[in-house]
Amino acid sequence: MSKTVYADISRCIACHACEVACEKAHGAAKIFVDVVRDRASVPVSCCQCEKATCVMVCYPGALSQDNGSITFDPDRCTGCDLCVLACPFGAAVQLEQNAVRRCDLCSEREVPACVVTCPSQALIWDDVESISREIRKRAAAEMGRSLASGRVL
Amino acid sequence: MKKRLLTVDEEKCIGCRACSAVCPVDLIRLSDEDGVRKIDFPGICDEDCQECARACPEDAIVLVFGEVRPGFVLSFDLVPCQRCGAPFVTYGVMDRLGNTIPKELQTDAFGASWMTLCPRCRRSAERDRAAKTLLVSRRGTQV
Repeated sequence: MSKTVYADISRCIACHACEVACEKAHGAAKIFVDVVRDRASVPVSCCQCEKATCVMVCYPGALSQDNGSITFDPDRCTGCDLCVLACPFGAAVQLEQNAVRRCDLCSEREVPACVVTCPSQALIWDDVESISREIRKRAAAEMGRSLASGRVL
Repeated sequence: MKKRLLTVDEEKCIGCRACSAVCPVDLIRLSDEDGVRKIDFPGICDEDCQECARACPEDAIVLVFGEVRPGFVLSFDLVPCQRCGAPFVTYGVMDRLGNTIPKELQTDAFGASWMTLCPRCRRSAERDRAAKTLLVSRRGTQV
């Protein structure tokens, strides 16, 4: 099963290190950390949608989906902007200098730069099943701590 | 005098960015201003190149030989974002997306259409949704 990046937002500390790491690896950041009402921060990047609408609208075949993960061939990209407008999360892709830039899960690295850099382990790199197991484990641990301290979730 | 002309089928053109983005000599200019997208096409193109015609998703561009004529501008009204009001997409592109993306994927899990929002507002909607439960659980904590 292919691996993907998952953001456990309860651990994100809004340090923006993932953005810097991505920018250093690719010249421009493809992950964005937004702070919501000073209380929560959410890193947004390509979700690698199972039914990827960006891939569906890409008529020159620059975007393709293979075994779950989305790959991008910049040589085929026409810069039409359709994939940017087809992303339900407005996050996956951006048009810059007439070409699309998007997360490629750091295909040239073993582990994506953002994940390696994240100091609070908010970004997880694994297959979907393992990620879901890890999230359940973290939620259970958090609940255990809350119950022990008497704090209501 | 006969030259190589750039012709655009106005009925077919949806006003995307493809031709202006691929043109290696910048002959096709695109601008978004005051809610209108304008694409400025040259009348003639002498380059040995078919990039724009190849890139066009609607096959609207054809390069033919003919009598020299001036350039022309195609204008497209832009659809305003339902949340922030900023114009962000042409009606033609919106139609193409609507026809390509299956109906069940055009709304989110709550039945709301994301297609009528600009990418920036989609991102902020997604961010607010993700933070919702966390904000509730952190309400009682010190900032």
